[in-house]
Amino acid sequence: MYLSKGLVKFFLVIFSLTQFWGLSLLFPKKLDSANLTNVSDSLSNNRLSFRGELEGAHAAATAVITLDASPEDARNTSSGSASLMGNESLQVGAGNTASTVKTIESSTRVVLAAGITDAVSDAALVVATSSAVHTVTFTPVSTIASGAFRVLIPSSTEANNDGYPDKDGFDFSTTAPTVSCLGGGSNISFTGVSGTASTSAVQVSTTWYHSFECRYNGTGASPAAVTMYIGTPSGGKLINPSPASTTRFPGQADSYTFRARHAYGIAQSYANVDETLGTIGVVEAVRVTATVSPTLTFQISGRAASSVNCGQSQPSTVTTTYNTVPFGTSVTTTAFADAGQQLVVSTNAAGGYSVTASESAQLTAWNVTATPTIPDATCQATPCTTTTPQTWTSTSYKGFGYTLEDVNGDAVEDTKEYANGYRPFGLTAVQVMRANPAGPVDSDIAYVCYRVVVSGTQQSGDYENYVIYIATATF
Amino acid sequence: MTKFQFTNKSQFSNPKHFKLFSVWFLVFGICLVFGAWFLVIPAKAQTLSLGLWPPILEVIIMPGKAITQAYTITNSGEETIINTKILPFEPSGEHGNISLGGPTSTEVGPLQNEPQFSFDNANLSLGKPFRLRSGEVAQVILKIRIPENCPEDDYYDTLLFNTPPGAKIGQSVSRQAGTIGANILLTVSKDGQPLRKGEIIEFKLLNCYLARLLPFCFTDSLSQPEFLLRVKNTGRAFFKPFGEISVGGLLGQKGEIEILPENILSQASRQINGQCQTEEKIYPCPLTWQPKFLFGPYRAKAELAIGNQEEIKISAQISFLALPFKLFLTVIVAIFGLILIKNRLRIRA
Repeated sequence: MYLSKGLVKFFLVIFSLTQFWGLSLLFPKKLDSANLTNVSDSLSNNRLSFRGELEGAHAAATAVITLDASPEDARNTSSGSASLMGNESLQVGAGNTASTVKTIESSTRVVLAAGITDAVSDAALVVATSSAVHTVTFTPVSTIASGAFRVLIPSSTEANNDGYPDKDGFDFSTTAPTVSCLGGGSNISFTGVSGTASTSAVQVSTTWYHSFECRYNGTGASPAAVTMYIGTPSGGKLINPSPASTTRFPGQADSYTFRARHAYGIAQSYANVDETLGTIGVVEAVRVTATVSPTLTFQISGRAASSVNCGQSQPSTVTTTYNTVPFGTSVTTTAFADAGQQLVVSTNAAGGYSVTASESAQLTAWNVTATPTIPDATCQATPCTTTTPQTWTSTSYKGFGYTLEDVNGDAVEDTKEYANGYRPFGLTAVQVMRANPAGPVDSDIAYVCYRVVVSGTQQSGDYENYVIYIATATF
Repeated sequence: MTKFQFTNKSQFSNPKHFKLFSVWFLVFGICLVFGAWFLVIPAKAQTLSLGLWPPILEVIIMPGKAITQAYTITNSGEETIINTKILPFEPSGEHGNISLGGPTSTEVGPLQNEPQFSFDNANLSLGKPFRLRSGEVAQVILKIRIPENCPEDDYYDTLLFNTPPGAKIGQSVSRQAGTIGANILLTVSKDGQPLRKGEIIEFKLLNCYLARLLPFCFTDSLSQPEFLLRVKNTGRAFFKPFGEISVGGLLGQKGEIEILPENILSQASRQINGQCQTEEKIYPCPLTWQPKFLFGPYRAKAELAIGNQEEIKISAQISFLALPFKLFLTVIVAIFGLILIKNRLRIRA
């Protein structure tokens, strides 16, 4: 193939030019602007705040409130109670003292631990704020002597520092968050320079931002990663936004764009040099509930032959069951017949429980003419009543009675324990066990110990009665 | 290999074989007996064990309306027969206990203008027994219907599930019947705002002295003030009081004791408990303030809101003076003891 001289010259010129261009790449011109790298903003709590409305007027001291599933005010975007949590601080009505959420009964009904302080009208504001410490990290790329790092967090265009959450940005809260910075390498020093926080101080395009700034001393050469803390766990913090719209569902996130900047120092009026945008995700709460309902369980069981109950041995011929205490032939005129049963109660009811006992009648021989009875115990001291036990160690005092022994817990009153004697059953129920201290209990166990001895003139026969135990939760 | 061989006369052909067989047979027999020991199925102890949910029901209802509540009864013991009934109750004492009484309610209430109870189950009726097998869980749907002419008032009843006493066994026997009950607190109100009234009938410091002689009392600086607070419901509907006892001293010492909102039934009084809380539960506890050291005059104010009506607030106030009696006494005794020892030593010398 043949090329003309002109064409060869043209290619040579082009080639020479590309060489010069290539050489220029070896010595690039230093740029004034670049991106910060590794930019992130971690929130200590990334839940959306709650900003809803009341459904209907509520009187002062009302503790059960109803939330509006479709709020009227466009600024109130939390529907019903979906994103509330138990034990959360909830303010019902602007100006009212916040109360703790005790129970979330339904998608709109909420029970508070204390009634609302002042009456509120329909569509009153209901707020539960979620605040977070922002931990912003980034790695600067430019060498700027005595410059500043600035982080811009989006804010609402109105009422953005009133302490109430906003649907379109972070609220500055009424207490300015503390700003502090760490890192930056050996040529950046934050010592002696306090960070600053300014509410809605910067506007970029149509968006307003809260501005948080750390100025530093040093040459700024070879900068390393910087961490900026906005807010402290116990101090002022930014308030997370409420849902962007009422159509948010649990688990759905709203995202906000923040800006991390590296700026010149005071000589250049802190003009911006580098900037990187990042995203903050704030998520609608997902409430996981597990309800443990109050229950009451009551158990009666027998005691084995020869077992020891209330300090007395059960006869070797007597084994009791949950519904019979068969004294049989162990009943004599000269020795006590002792037999026991075990009662067990558990409840998680807040107030505890009570077990009462009563008898249908005295031990009676129904199959004998004239239906003789074994009298209720009179002990050997007075008063020996259904509520006051007395010593009963002598078989000279005849009758049928009982005493109690704590086995697990302190269900039996100390004065009703066997060390203080015996007492008769009555037709009216009396308490034999109770939660002590009052409240939920796990397996309170007590022995009921029956005792009988008869007189020499007691008519022969099969005597019987029945004892009714009733367990109820306290109201 | 050992080989056993029987003759047609059922004898071993070799006496050695017979001996060996006897040994094997003996060992086998011992193993069998020993193994049987482990094979014994443990006998399940005869037990009555009933569980009930919910143990308490609180309802505000309008006349002419009806509600249903499902109760779950669990039998973890032996198979048993369950009888059901509803009995009215009255509060017994001041700690939330009940005293059952009155006529038995069945399908139709004792009076036509009082709350009517019935079961909504197809196969169960109130007052009629049903069988509950071991391990069975039964659901009972209780229907409460309030007649149109039912007076606005409170009605307190207990739904009882009781087992029959043991059978007669031809000897002297005491038979037992176990019952488990769920309390029902019913407020009948036309507008949902029943009349709630109450008063503090007693508010005092328990560990305090000379209260009867002076308008205030003395307590020791090292003690922890424990209060007694009793509230009476003078209205026509039960309520839960909310509030606290706030304590303040002249030296700026302050404290608060939160009270536990517990039901106070109409025309009854209740001793109020403090509210204690762990991660798992809220439970009653004494109304005790726990400062490290008390000194000087103090004022304690109990302020309670009745139910959900902020306008009904009741309060009571007491004063007390804290002085370091025990400390003072200890110092006196110590000084006295030192003097005594010194005198003894002097006499000896």
